[in-house]
Amino acid sequence: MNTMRIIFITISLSAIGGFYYLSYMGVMGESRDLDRSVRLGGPSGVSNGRVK
Amino acid sequence: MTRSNEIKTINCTSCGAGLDIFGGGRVEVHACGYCGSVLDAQDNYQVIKKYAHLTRPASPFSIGMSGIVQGVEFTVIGTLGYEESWGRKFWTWTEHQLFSPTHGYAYLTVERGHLTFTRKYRKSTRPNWVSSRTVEAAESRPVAFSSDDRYQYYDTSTSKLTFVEGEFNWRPEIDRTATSVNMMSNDAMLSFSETATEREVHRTVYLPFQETCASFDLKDAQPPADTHRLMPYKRGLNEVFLRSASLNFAAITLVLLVILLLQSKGTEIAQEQFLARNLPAEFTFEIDRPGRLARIDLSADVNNSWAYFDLSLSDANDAPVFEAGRTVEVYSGRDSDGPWTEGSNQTSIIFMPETAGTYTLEVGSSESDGRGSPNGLAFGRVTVRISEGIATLRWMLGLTLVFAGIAAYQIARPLLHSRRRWWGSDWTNEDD
Repeated sequence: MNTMRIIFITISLSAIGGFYYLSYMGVMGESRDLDRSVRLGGPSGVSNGRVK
Repeated sequence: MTRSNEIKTINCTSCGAGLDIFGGGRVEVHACGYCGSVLDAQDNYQVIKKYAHLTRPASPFSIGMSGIVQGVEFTVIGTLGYEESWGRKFWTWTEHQLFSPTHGYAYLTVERGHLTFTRKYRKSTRPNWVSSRTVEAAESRPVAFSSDDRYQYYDTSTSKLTFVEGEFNWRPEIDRTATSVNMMSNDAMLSFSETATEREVHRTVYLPFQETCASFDLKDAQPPADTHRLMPYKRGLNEVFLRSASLNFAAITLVLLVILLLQSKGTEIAQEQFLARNLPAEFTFEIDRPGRLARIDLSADVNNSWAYFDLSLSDANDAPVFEAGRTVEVYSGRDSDGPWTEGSNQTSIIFMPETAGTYTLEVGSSESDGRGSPNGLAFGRVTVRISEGIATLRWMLGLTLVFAGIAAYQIARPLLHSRRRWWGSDWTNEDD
């Protein structure tokens, strides 16, 4: 087996393991529109502001 | 009348330069490379014509070189330069007349660095002849058969001779044009060539570059990088391996994808229902698997109405995790096409809890419109479900596509090569 084939198999197996981990852990799977720049509290009980 | 094979050199009868004789007894003319005179080899080398200031075409081969072509030793005895133009396109190539004492005359062509080998074709073809008129009148791509090969029309070319030097078994004339109808099979080209005075059929095949150059003792020749129309498909060193390995890895990732798909819904850990009049309201749930995705599914009984829900989440330390909003709307009706429904009464938010513990979700509805609803309310109740341990498919799906793409490319390579071979054809189907 030549070097290129060994490299391809090694990279492929590493990619399968790594990508399975990323999928299993849900990396970058969060909703993209979540606003984390908030502070809870307010007169209505639900903050409607964008206040740090 | 044939010329004596005993003669090895002559002096040009025009300029006196010494000219080597390589071409055998059927040579008709000898063009002097020094003064451009064309000498009659069958009549004491009398000057027939004289061409001055001809531009020598590029070629790694020169007269006198010998090498093995298709198992036969040939000697280069002449050099011809050709050009062809069509619109703004312009092509040039170099042909060398070859001679073998046992196999006669042939041509070695150098075109964009590619080498091809041409011989006069004496076998019968069906049809016997294909002319440019035949092609122009054809409604489908013309086809010719010979031996067990099927040749399809490739192009029609009109070439002009621009350079001549050496020995030839015919009488080349500068600026003389020849029209060729070229038909291509999987590995050869049949050319039905016609000049003002004669018709001939030639068969051309591709020559392996390295092997041919080595045979002619050409050491520094650079192989061409592009695809020639007669170039046979050459399987890559790792092509079969890449195809099978990629297919196997794609199959593995598909299995893992199914496993992840089963895990993608996660485990439901809490559920709560709120009446619209009780909003905003708080709702707590326990996160046991931090560092894995969790999902909030929200559904409301909207009916020809919409509602915007405000959601804010805080963690066990009462620190804000996020704030988000979602709209839920369902509209339905009937028109000339029948009943219709649009929208969905469900929505979801996926987030990543970083710590375990009790999380508090606050749900409110700051805006809604129930004017189209039967009871005038946007919604009566909203249901919230919490799931954790969610997996995402995107990474494994992407990797599956990468492996599938590599396998597909390897499988498609022969087809892509064939398309490149036929790229230069001037035949266009009307329905293409």
